[in-house]
Amino acid sequence: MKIPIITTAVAAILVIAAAWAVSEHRRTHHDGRSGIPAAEADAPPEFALTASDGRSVTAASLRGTVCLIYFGFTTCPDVCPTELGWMMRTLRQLGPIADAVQPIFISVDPERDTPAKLSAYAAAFHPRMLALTGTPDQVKAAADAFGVVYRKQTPVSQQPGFYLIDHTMTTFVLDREGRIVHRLASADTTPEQAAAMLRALAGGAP
Amino acid sequence: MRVILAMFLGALGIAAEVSVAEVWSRATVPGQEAGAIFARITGGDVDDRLLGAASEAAATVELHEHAMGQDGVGQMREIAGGLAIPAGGRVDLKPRSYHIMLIGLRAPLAKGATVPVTLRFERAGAQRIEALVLDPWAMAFDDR
Repeated sequence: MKIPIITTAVAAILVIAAAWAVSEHRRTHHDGRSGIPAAEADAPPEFALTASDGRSVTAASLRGTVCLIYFGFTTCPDVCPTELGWMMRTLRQLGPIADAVQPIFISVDPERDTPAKLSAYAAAFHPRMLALTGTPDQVKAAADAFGVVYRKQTPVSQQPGFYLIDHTMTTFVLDREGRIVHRLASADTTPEQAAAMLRALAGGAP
Repeated sequence: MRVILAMFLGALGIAAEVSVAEVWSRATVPGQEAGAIFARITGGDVDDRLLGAASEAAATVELHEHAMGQDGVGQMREIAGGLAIPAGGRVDLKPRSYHIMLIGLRAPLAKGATVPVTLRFERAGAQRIEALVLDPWAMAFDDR
């Protein structure tokens, strides 16, 4: 009789532990600031990149503007258009307040994403979307500042020289002080929900 | 039920084949190397398998699957061995899931144009379809 009780107790503990682990995972992965130490959450990510029109863009130059930032690459046929489309839908939900939000696409593929390609790509999603790139070192530093991971796949395609890049699929919301206040993904957050978050940040006078 | 229906249709001489509908793609800009084709595939009377695809629009065409890695990093991989299409079932090629990937586009995919694609099934053989090019941000065939 004792064994079943112990087994049941162990099973119950495992279930509780698993539930905690899942909720902890969700909390740290989806809820902007609560899952990371306050100091880290408050430190704005720093970066220095170049816009597709040649302008230099740094974290400091974007201060004062609420930003939506997504890292990706133009050769990505599925996820990047999905997430940038979600960004566009979110801005559409905002109405006139959208003008106070800067949409930004940062390429993690500086080798292939030329300024000309990036300009056309960003404009296809939103007329005000800023497309940023830089030297491989600058792009790596920017990604590190946001905790974005990207790695070139070993070419498996039959197309010689072709490769894809695995990458973090998060859209970052930066407040006017340049701090990351939300980490979002189209799979978890609707454009309506994202728009409500942005309205709270960008709705008032700057 | 499915078996009875298949037998009934078989008796009438109407054998249902795999069918493909709502085929679409997303517009690309000049220089963009790759595109994706999405579709709804409905199984026929017997289990089948989508083995591959070909298109004049691209140098290489592959079946790809999107998956989320443990660290939240998105990964895209070729589907090894093809995609099972169960009898009477439905398999959607859709964003964040399966797609037919066009690699080495010969020309940008223009909104409103159609892209010819030949799908190769294990049993149903070759099926010629046409994908309608929608906006770059489209999420479904009726997303217009």
